[in-house]
Amino acid sequence: MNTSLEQFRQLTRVFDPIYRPYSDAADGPGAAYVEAAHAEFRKQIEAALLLNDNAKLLLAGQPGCGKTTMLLGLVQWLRGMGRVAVFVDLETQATVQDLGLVEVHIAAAAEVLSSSVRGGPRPSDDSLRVVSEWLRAAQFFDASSDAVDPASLAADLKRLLGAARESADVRRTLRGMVRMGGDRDPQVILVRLLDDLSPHRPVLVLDGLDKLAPDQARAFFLDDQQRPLADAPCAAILTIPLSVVYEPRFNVLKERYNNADNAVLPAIRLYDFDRQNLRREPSRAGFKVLRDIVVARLPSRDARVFREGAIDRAIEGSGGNLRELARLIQASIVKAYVRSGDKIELYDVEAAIADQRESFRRSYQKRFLPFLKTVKERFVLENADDVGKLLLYGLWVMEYRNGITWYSLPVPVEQLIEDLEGA
Amino acid sequence: MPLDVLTFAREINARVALAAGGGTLLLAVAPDDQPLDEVRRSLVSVLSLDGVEARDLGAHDPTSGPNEWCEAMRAGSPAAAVLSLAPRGALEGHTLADIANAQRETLRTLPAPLIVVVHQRTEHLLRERAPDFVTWIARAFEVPHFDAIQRFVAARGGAVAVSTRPAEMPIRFLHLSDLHLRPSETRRADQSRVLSGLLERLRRERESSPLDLIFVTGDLAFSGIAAEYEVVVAFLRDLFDATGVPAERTFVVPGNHDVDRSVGRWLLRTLASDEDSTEFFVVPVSRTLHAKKFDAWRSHLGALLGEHRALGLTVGADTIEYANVRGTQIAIASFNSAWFAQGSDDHGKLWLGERSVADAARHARRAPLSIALMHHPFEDLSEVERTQIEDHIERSFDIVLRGHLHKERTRTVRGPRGANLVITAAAAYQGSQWPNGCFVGEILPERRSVKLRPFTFGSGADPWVLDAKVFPDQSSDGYACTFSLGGRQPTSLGEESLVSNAADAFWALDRRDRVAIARRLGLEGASNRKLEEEAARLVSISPEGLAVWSSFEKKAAISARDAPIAKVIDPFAIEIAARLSFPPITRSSHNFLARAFEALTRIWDELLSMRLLPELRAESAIKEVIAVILSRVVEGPVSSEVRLNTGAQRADILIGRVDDPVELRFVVEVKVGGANPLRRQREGIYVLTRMLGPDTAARGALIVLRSDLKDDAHPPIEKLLVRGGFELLIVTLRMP
Repeated sequence: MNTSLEQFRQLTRVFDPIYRPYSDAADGPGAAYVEAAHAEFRKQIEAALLLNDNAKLLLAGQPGCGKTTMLLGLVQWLRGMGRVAVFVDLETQATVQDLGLVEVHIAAAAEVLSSSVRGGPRPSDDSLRVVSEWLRAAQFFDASSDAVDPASLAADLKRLLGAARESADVRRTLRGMVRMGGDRDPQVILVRLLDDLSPHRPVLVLDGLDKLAPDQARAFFLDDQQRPLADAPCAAILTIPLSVVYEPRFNVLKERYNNADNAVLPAIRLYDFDRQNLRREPSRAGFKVLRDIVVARLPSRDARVFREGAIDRAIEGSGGNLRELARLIQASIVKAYVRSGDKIELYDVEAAIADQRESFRRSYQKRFLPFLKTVKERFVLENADDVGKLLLYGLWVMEYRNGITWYSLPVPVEQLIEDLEGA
Repeated sequence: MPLDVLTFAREINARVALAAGGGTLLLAVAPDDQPLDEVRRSLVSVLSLDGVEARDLGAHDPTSGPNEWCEAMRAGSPAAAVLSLAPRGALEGHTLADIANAQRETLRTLPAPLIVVVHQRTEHLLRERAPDFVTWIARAFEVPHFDAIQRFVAARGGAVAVSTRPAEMPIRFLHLSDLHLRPSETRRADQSRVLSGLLERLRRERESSPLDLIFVTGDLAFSGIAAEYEVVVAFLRDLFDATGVPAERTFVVPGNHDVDRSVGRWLLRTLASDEDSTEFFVVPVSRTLHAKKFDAWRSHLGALLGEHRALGLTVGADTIEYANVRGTQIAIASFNSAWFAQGSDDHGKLWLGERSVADAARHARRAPLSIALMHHPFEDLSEVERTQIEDHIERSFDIVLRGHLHKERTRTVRGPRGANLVITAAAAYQGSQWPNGCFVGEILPERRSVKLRPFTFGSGADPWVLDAKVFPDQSSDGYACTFSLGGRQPTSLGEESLVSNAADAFWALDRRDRVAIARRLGLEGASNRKLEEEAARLVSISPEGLAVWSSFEKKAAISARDAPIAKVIDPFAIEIAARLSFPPITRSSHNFLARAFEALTRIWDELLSMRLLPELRAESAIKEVIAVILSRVVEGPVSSEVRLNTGAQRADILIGRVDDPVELRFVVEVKVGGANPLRRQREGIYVLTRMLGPDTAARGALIVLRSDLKDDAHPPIEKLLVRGGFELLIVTLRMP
């Protein structure tokens, strides 16, 4: 098989960390989605949503562990059951660095209206009129017309969000309206819209809140006045930054959200952990899921461009993190291309892993070593202080779960530790 | 370790070629001391080699994020784009990290490959504060030196990028020294004539060449008494008025004429040892009496320039003050060489305190530009510490300003650990019948150059004129001379901690030495570990501990200094390879290995004869140096401590890549001969024989370093065929 430049380009594109595998899909996570990924965690979320129409769930996880992809899969599953599932991508609608609850409510209301345009149930005319009046009262600009059709109202709300994204003044004014309370608070319009949809058991999925900086996230989630969506008349899933989980006051969220104890989406488990003997054994199931994920992204699902063992080695190198896996596969493809090979060989993957190891070496700090050694020897990440958090965020340590939560080092970090110990 | 230029060029061009039609984010990481503008331009040139028209988006606002980057790229649809981000300080860095993290989704809309150039410290910060953003980066490259890239591009006929940015605004300074001001009636008129002429000249130039900083390197007064400082203060006020430079941007150090010798008459004349020096410069009470010699200096200049100012009366890190001129942070160290100045026999009796200077130097290295002020030349310092002081200052300061000699002198010191410019100003006033002079300098921090204009007092209507005698060959540049500051050598972390923290340095010593220190401190106990812990505590807090530790300090310093030596050697290796006309030897060429090692031997000997190879003790440092030299004579990557394919074996040095065909891979084993070089040679042959094989490398070389070779006596390179028919060379080098 001779791999042409065009094939190399295709392969490089679909494994770039910024590639969105679901971008070509009209709805849901796209054809590249492998349902078995995070099956256990997803079952728990599904059960919560099936049993409780007011379930309020949180979702945190290491960067690139597959949160958004899983949420898109869930949305598709919910819609398949006839429920109204509204996916709100806050990043595209608001300024994450200065995000207030008011923008969250407006973005959610806009998406609820948009979903009715896409064939979902239509809110009542009364509610649409309330939205229209609220927009007029807000007086930021002339609402497009007196019409109360969901499409133009959604468009107006999104225009307002656009203005808020661009202008701190607009954001301040919106927040002022919330403080005035009553009908001025856009939460009112969201609640009305959701009430109308209650026969369809609506679920709001808020993605993007995990992009809040730690200080902001602390204020947003842990402030007793905020309680984002905790009291909304619907089920809701909110992505949250991992930093919130390690806040000392995280406990308060247990009263507001149903799964606060279990909000962290673990990496896809590459190993089964034998707690008694402190041993990890490769998990066939885990490797299979990740192999399927890689193959699902390949054009025509043809994996012959990889020499035997190459994909498995990349999987091992990634520690089960999906974005890291994509990056390693992409780097291996580039290595093969540079040496004019037509297959991705095991040593291409080794070279990509070595590059990753060197990246870790550049950001290595002495204080990491005792923590990393404990993970290596005892599969425990000692107390979640600043170092522990840094190691988790920076993917130095992977968090797994089988029964209990345990930790392991990805191959590049293992190699670095060996080097450091040998030095 | 950065990639070699060829590997880097291939990979970055491959990335761009493969991403055609789509976006990808690449991070190019440069050492903190490299100017990002140059690095960015070198990347644009290297991309041009493959015909990619990459757009240089310039230095972006360091608090911009992916939204703005994408927007900048969309205008004009380039095939690739390069931008640089250099946050100034922690606040901007944190803002950049937060925005990058928050806007990371936008990266999905990148219309083409984007290469973001940052310093290592920014990469570090992004990894720490924006870990999610970092996972969206397809590859973070450590970029080879921009000079090397430009040379590589030029050698391949590519277009070397030229600067298109507006000219850099220079930072202007006035360097005065040796004013010897006094209220003497007899001298007043002459003093006034010379100095008012200078003020007049500066006032006239204020509009066209405004000054930013004033440095006065000692002997402001004549005998250090209060009445003289009143004249000094009056002159400085006039100087501020004439130049517009504020007091806080004026830096002074005392000279031998600034001390009140009547106070010093009864004090310790000099110090006897390193231990004494450590005590004097570390324990404040030790300096109490000597500080009295500067009472008039302190009270008058403190009142004028600020009570909190260094004025040359502080030690260690407190010697450093910072000035921020148009965004460039400058560390300015005011070293007092006059603590022990007392008479005409000061030579060899003066001390700056090695510990104090080392501490200051460590802080200075963090600033992009650093200037040291001192009155005396190094030659006047005590022999006990002179070399070390020179070493610290040479390594950590870009510019050294001095006085005392009463004649202008400038020289660029380019040593194995960096380069700096030493400027000695003439006496600004020693009587109109003698030469009086000063310098006006212009620093271009990004270009790292200093242009000096010497002025002298003459007769006539315009008493202060350009002095054509100082740089007589520079008539085309108006008798001004431009000096290059060269690149600053980064400091290894090991060395940082060594000088910053005695306890850290203590732990860097051998265990035997640590226990010995503990015993010398009178500590006893059954557990060595406990002894060591207590000793580590004492060395950082007590004078006794410091004194004992300092005698071991040099030992630790040697092992710490070995680490970055390879980086220091690299430019010299390039220079020698060019001088000896070694073309890059291609790995597939006939007799490659023998030719490569012949070149290595020649360069090694040159470095030895230039005394550029210090006493390398650690085998690892020797390997690094050898790898660096080899990388400059062979085509293809050279890496040290490389795992071979099987994963179990490590080659000291590998020429070629682990994924190259076996005939293009060469392994090198390095052995330090020690007392029994033949035995080490046998060990090396054994190791290499096991390493050579069809999956690892077909050929290898053993380098044995011997200290028993006479100068110029070089055993020839030997060739062996070992088990399995593999070829092996034995190369002997002289131990530094």
